Amino acid sequence: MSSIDNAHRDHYGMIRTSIQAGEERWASLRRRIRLIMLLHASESAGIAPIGILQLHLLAYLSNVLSPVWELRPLDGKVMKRRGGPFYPVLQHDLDKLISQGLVLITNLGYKKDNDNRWRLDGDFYLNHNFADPIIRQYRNYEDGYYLATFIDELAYAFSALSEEDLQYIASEDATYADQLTAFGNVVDFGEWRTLNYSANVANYFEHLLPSGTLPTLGEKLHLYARHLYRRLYETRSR
Amino acid sequence: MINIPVLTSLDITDYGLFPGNQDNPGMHVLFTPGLTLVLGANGLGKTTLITILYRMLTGPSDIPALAWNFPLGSASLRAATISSIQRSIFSQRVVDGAKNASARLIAKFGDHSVVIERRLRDLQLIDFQIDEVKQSPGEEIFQQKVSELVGVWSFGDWILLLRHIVFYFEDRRALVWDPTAQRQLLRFLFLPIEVARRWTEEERDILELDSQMRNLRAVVYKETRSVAAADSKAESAQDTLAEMRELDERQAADVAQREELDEGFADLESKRQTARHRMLNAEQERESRYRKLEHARLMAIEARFPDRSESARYILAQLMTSSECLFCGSKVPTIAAELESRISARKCLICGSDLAEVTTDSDSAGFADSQVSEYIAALQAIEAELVEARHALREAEAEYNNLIQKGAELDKAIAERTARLEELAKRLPPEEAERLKRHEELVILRRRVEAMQADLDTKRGAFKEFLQEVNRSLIAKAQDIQNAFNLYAKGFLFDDCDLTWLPRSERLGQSGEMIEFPAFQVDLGGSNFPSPVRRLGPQQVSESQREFIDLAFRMALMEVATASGVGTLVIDAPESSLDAVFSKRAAEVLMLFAQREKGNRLIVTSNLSEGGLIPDLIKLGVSTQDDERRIIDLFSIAEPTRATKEMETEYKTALYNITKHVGSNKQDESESDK
Repeated sequence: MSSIDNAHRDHYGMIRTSIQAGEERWASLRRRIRLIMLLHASESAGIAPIGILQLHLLAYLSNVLSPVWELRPLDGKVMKRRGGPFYPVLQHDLDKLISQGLVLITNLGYKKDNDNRWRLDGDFYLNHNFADPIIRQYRNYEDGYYLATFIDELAYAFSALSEEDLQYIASEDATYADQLTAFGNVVDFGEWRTLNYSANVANYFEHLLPSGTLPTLGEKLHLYARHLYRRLYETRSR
Repeated sequence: MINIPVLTSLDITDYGLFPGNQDNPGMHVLFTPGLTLVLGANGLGKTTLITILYRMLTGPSDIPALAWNFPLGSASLRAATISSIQRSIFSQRVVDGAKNASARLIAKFGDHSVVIERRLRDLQLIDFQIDEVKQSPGEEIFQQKVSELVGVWSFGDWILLLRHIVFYFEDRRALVWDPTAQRQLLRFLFLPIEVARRWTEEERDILELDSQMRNLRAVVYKETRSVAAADSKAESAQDTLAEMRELDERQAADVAQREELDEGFADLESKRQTARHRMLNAEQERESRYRKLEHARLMAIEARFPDRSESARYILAQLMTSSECLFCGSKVPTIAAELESRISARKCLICGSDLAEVTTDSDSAGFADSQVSEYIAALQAIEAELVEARHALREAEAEYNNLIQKGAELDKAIAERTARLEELAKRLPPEEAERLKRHEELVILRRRVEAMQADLDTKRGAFKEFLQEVNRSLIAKAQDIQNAFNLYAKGFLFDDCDLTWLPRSERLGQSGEMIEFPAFQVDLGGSNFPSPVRRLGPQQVSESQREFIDLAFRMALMEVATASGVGTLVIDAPESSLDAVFSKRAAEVLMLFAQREKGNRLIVTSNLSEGGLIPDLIKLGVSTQDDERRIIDLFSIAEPTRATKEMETEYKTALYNITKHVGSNKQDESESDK
C-alpha cells in the first residue's frame, strides 16, 4: 500500500501522506510538551496564570535563546507582528491541551490586535491532575530534564518583569527588533539562517564580567532579561 | 539629500516640428506649479517634446543598458556618449535637419537657477548658466556641475534618476518591480555621496573580477577538453592517459553543470523565501479569522449556556468552529451541526433541554448568528489559501534542498577529480614531457581560478558587511517612504496595498554567497486573495494597478529624498489602461502630487484617446484663468500631419470634448481665485 493510500486530511483539510502525518504528529507533541513546560515554569516563577501574549513571548524566547544552552530551537523563525511574537500552530496545540483537560483558561476573550487581526485573549494555567504525570515522565529523561531546567531558568529570568513589560519586551529583543526585518516579514534566526543576535548578546555577557568570573548558563539568561528591561526603560524615558 | 530639477520654462526656436504661429513662432512653455498638459494627435510631436526635455538635461549621454531598455542587472552604470544616429534624433524629423533649431530650458535645482541651451541638430551645448553665471563650455563641465547641483557622485546616477523618477516614458519599466534598478535608486537618493560612490565602485570591482574569473574558467574548460583530446592520441602511458582523459571529460561536464546550478540558485532561494512568507502570513490570517468566527460562536453559546465554565464553553466553540474534536482529533461535522441546531432551537448545548425560559442576551446572540455564515466563508477561503501555501512551501523547499545537495555532490566530485588528475599528471613518463607540461599548465590555470575565486569571496564578504550597514541606514527612511506611498497608493487602489521593506538576497555576479540588497516589495489584496499577497512582478497585478503603484512609488521616493520636497514628474500617455472609475481616482492622486501649493510640476502628455483621465485632470488642475498656460495645444503649435489636416473637424471635436472640462471644478476654481 502506498503512503498516498494512507493519506488523510489534517486540521486545515490538507491531504497528507502517512509519513507527513507522522512527522506532524511528533512535531505537535513536541510543541505541546514545550507548552506544558512553559506553563509549569511560569507557575514556578510566580507568573501564572499567564496571558496569551506573554506565553507566546516566552515560547519565542525559549527558541531564540536556546543556543545559549546549546539547544536547537523548536522553531527557528517567526512572523514579525506589531503585537509581538505569536505562533498560530502553537496556539492550536494549546487549544488541544485545553480540550484534553491539561490546560485551563480563564478571562477568555477576543481582541483585535495592532496588526488589525483577531486573536484569542485569556490566561492559561495547568491542570495538575493531568499535567503532572507528563511533567514527571519528561523530567526523568536526561535531555528532558536539561530542557526543563532551561525553560525554568528562562521563566525565572523574565518573571522579574511586569505583565506590561513582558508585552513590550520583544520590541527590545536584538533579533525580533532588528530593523532590517520589517513588520509582516519573517524573523529567521535558526531555520535557514543562523544569525541570532539575541543569543550573541546573551553569550557576550561573559566578556563583560570581571576577569576570572564566568556567568553560568542561567545567569546569562538573567543578564539578558535585565538588559532588555534596561533598554525598555530607556526607550520609555526618552 | 538630493535636488530633483523643478522645470520652469522651455523655449524651442527654429525647429520645423514646432513652427508655432505668426504671432508666436516656435514653442514657449512656462511650467508653473501644478499641472501642464500637452495635448496632440499621433505624429504632432508630444513624445518628441518630452524627449527634448530629457535630452536637455542629459545632453548626448546615456547609460547604454537603459537606452536599449535592458534590465540593469550587472550592467555598467557609467554614462556613455550616445551614437551619432541617436544624437540626430531631432534633426531626422525635419527636412532642414534642424540646422538652426535650439531649445532653452530653465530649471531650479534646489536654490540654484540653471539655464541649459542646446542645438537640436546634435545636442551640442550652446549656453549653460548657474545662477546667471555662464559656465565653461563642454559636456564634461556640464556633467560635473549638474551632478554637484543634484547631489550625486556620477552623471550615470543623474541619468538613472531622470529615467526612473522624473520621466515616465511610454516604454517605461516599473521601478517598484525592478529590484536591480530600485537598489541603485535607493543608493544615491538616500546615502551620502561618498557611501554611494563606494557602493558603485566596489560592486563594479566585484562584477569585473567575477567576469574575469568566469572567462578564465571557460579557458580552463576548453583547455581541459583539448588536453583530453590530445591524450587520446598518445602512444605511451596509455592507461594513465586513458584515465586522465576520462576524468577530464567528466570534470568538464561537472563544472558546466555546477555553473548551471549556480545560475538557478538565486531564483530558487527567492521562491522559497516567498513561499515561506506566504505560508506564515496565511497562518496568521487563518488564526485571525478562526478566532473571529470562534468569538461569534462563543457569543451565541454564552447567551444560552447555563454553566459558567469558560473552558467548557471554549471547547464547544472550538468544536463548532473547526468541526474537529480537539480531544481525540476526529472530524465531527455532524456533531457540530447538531450543536448548531440546538443553538438555533434555543436548547441546552449539552443535554438538549429547552432553554426558552432561560433569560438570554438575545441581542448579542442574534448579532453573532447573523455574522457566522460570513465568517465561515472567510475562514474557508483562508484555509484553502493555507493549504496551497503549505504545499507551495514544501515544493519550494524540496526543490531548493535538491539543488543544494546536487551542488555539494558536484563540488566533492570536482575536488576529488582535481586531486586525482594532479596525481596522474605526475606519473606521466619522461617521453611525454610536452604532455606533462600541458597538464602542469592546466594545474596552474586551475589554481589561478581558485585564487581568483578566493579573492572574490573575500571581496564579496566585505561588500556584504558594507551593505548590511547600508541597509541599516536606509531603513531609517523606509517608514517615511512607506507613509508617502500609502498616501498616494491608497487614493488610487481599492484593494489593500502595502509597501514592505524587504531586503532581497541576490548574488553579485554569477556565483558566490547571497548578499542582501535593499528593496521594497508590494503586498496587494485582490478578489482572489483573502489577504494582501506579495506581488513579485508587474505580471501579478492588473495593468491599471501596475502603472499607478509604480507612480505612487516614484512620487513617494521623490517626496522623501529631495531636500525641498519638490520635484517634476513627466508622464508620457498615462491613460491607456484605465477604466472610468480608476481614471477619476488616478486623476485625484496625480493632482495630490501636483497641488499648486506644493510647488511640484506635473507634465502629462495625451493624444486625445478615449478615457476619463485627461478630462478629470483638467477638471481638477486647470481653471479658466490659466488654461492657456497649462494646456499646450500641439494642434496650434506643431506642424500638422496629413491626418490632422484631413480629419481637422474630428480632431477639433475631440479636443473640444476634452478641453470643455476646463473650469468645471467650480469649487477648486473659486479657491484658486482667492
